[in-house]
Amino acid sequence: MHIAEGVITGWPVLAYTLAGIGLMAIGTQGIKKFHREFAERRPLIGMGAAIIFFISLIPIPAFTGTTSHPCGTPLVAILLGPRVTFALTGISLLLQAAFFAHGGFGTWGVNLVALGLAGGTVGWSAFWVARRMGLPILFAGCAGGLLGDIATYAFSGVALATALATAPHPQYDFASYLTVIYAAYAPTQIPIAIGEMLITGLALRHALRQRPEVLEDLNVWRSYAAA
Amino acid sequence: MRAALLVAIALSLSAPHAIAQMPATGAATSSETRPGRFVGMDQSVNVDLAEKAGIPARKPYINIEAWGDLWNFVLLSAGGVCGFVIGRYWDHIWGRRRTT
Repeated sequence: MHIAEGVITGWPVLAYTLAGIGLMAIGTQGIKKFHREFAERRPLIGMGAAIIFFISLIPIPAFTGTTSHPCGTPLVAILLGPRVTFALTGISLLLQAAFFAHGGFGTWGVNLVALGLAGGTVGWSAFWVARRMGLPILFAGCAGGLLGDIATYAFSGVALATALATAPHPQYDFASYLTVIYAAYAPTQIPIAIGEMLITGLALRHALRQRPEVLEDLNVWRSYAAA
Repeated sequence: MRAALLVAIALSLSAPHAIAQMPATGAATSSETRPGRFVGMDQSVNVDLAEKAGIPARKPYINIEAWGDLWNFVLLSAGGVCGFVIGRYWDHIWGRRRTT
């Protein structure tokens, strides 16, 4: 998911960075709103940031002999909301670019759009759609985790294919690049997406069993019951 | 509960070390990649394709590999402190159970 420093060049860097700054502004408003509405739950913001930072950085080995990262943003978006997730993802990616050589400052915006916007929003939406369909929290969480992970890498593939197709020496056109990238991602990322699916669903079910009042306070469970 | 806290602290102590040991997948061009299994997909797909298309990844602005074990020291210290703080104030994150 981390597109490395220097791979995206020219005006797309500016466009993605502006989009990232916009997402950070939206996220900051979301955090302020969270502070007002859930004053006693403010430490959860720190925990959400730690979850995204750790999960999106840890390399998980796959059967293919390569490693890749899960996302963590679907789970945090379900718990704290997608807007808060934008800001936490932006901060996490900035630290990863600065101190862990993952991603980069020039590709911070595109990585934020992929991980925060695509991953967080799609994961959160899938969870809510599944909930509206009356699915238990385990399956709704699984849907959020799986689709959020896939959406992150789907967007990364599109962004990368666009950059490669307009590179100085492109080997393929956009559609062919996209096919090549998805074919290369799939064997490694699909097992990891299934893992993220299970972890997200089980984590939400565990939280509901152990501390239902927290999910009620965050409007995760109460709305589910009403739905 | 005490066992769970101990596990959390142990993970906090060990995880940063594991991260510090992992290869910087997005850090360098493919010609500088360490050979062997379990190269990151960021490197094996994104960076390699980009290099072939004429847009090689640049080295990170902050090169932590040049720091040697100093980076391990920083991460382990921070992970240890954070682990103990999280263990001590765990209830501040999740709140205390309601007793109704």
